[in-house]
Amino acid sequence: MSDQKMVDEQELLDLFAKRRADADRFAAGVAKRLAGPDEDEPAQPEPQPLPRAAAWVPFHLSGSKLWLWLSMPILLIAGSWLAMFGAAGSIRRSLRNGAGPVAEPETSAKPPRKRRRSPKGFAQLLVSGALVAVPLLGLPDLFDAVLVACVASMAALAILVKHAAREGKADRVQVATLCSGLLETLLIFALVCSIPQLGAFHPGRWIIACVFTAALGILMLIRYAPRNVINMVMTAFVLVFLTNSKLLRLRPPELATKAQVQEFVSTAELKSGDTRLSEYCETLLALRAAGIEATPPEDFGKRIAKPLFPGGPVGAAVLTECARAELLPDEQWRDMAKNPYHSGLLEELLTGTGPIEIPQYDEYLLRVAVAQPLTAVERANLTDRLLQSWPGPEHLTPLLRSRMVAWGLDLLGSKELADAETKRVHAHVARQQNRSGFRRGGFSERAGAELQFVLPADEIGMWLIARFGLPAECNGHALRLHLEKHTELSRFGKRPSANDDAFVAFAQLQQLDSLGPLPDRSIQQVFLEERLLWAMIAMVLLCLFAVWIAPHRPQGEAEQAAQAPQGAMP
Amino acid sequence: MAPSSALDPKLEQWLAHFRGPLIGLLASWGSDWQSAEELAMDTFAEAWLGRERMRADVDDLDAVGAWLRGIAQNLWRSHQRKRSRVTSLEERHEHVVAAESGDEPDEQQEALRRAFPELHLEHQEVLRMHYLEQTTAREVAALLGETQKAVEMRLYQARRALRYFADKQLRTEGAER
Repeated sequence: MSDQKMVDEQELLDLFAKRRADADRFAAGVAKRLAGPDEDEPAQPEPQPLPRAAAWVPFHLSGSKLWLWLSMPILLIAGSWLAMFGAAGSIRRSLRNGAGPVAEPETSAKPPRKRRRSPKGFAQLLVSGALVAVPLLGLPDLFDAVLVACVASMAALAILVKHAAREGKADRVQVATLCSGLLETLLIFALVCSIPQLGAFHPGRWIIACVFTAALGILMLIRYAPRNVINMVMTAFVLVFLTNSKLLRLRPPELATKAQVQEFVSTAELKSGDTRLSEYCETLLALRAAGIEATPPEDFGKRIAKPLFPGGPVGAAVLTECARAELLPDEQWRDMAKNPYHSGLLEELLTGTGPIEIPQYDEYLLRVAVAQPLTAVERANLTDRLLQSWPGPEHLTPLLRSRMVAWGLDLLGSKELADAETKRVHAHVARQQNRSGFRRGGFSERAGAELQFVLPADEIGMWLIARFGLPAECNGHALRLHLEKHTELSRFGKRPSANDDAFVAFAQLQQLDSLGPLPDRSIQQVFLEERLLWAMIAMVLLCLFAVWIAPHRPQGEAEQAAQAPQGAMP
Repeated sequence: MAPSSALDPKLEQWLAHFRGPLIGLLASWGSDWQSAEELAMDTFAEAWLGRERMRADVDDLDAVGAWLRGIAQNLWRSHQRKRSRVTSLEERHEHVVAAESGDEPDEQQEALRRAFPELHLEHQEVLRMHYLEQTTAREVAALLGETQKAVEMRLYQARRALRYFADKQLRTEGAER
């Protein structure tokens, strides 16, 4: 390329000649500043900020941004609402303006920062709102509404940036900084999702991949101020390392195996009152339902059902677990009626009327009852009471109640009476399956002394599925993914119980698979089920779009962009 | 007015290296030329007074460039905040218009001047920094925190782009006549 196609150096020097500072005058100006203010000049009331102070503030917060961060608790609540209204207002104004706002003259008396429709302010609200909204995705009832709100707000930001760009108000680095804040929020959410103990969304890792891709995209788009995005990536890595190092490890997650689960069942050294008994019994029941050989150690039942102290009672919860898993011989149940405590409860169960209202941990009484030589009247009364106990729509714990009734009827040898209610049980199972939010695919039910908590109820749901089959309305694919995720072995847990949940999930997965292949899903179903992932991809793409359409400014000087779209002309 | 000989030789060295690029940089951020010059003076004074905190050799051009740039950014922000409170944009406009009135420029220069805003902002920036006092690309690079090669490449592209836009201006004007 010849120099004739370039501006001559001398021409450029001439162009800027008028702007050149006089060297002596300049040096004198510096010397004057170093000497301090003249005595006759008024003292400068405001000291200059520490030149490097901003570098020590995390996330490059200073000035108004620092205040924004400190006032986050209030903004968290207000932000989500304002973001919604801001989005609506912005879209309405944009539509009213038709082809877009006409650029205002530079001499406007109103400072740019006071003007309406500032993408910076809206994006800050959006980030604040996301901090509130994204965790709400974990709540099943709000899932779809929050998802739509998140994507709509992000789309509104993109529209706002597009319009503001015409006025020279949007700055690419500024938008990128705020979008990276939003992506960080998504990333934290995805990391929380990928913790197996929380139940987790399945696309957690995909969201992480999307966010990282977006971060790289933003990095490429803002070549001259990558600091914020590098910050985000660094923060993400720290978070990943702290919360879920599984993402960083090179080998795939270690899953529970059949041999491990069988070994767990056959060699478990549990004592009476051991908190692991519940997981042990759930594993044993699921393996039996799957037709997998699982033999408890010799005298396991006797060892477990020992009184906590000599002459004391055996825990009711322990007895219920033993009863359901058939860990104790028949004569032991029969002898239990000789104990005055048990005999009192048993009499109440056999002679009472109306639906059975016993706590979950007292269900072993049904096993004690059928071990006795019952009269025909007692048997009929118990059967009648069980039939009256089927849960209706008003019950808060339909799964728990269904299991008690079905198990009781099975113990009494009235399986056909339980089978007759298959439709009712299927409806309850399908209703209690989590369709969205955390632990999607699994089962939940009310629990707690006054039924005020919603707790996982996978083992009850799986027991009912083993007994009554998989309901057609139940999402078997989601359930399978949910169980599969839980089969991941703990990487750091050194306690003997660290992998108990994984063993339970593995056994339940085998149980589900033993029911036969799951029905095929339509494309529409697949799309709807993975809507969280699509929404996250949409948000990430809108983030990139917003950054891309914002005009580029050198040096990452956000404020200068708002004040002066162009630098001084020669 | 205090004589320049009152300054420390090291500081004079800083001025010689970075005066032009720093004024150009501040002008690129949106200051008018006069404010940019004032801010550059403030920056040098502040940087010199705080050189203890620099944690680098005062002879290291790259470190000094980064140091000046950081301080200039903070001062510029502070200046903008204050100005937005006390100065209306009309006053600023009047000031700029007054500063820009001067001798009648020749046709070529006028074409360059009118083509300049057409340039990409990165290109405008390096041209201001480099040609205000014809400093070296290394000094511009030190202030921008980039490599010398990158700055040279950008200068080359900027000069080409400016020629293209200036020629276009001249052609348009010729056709209009």
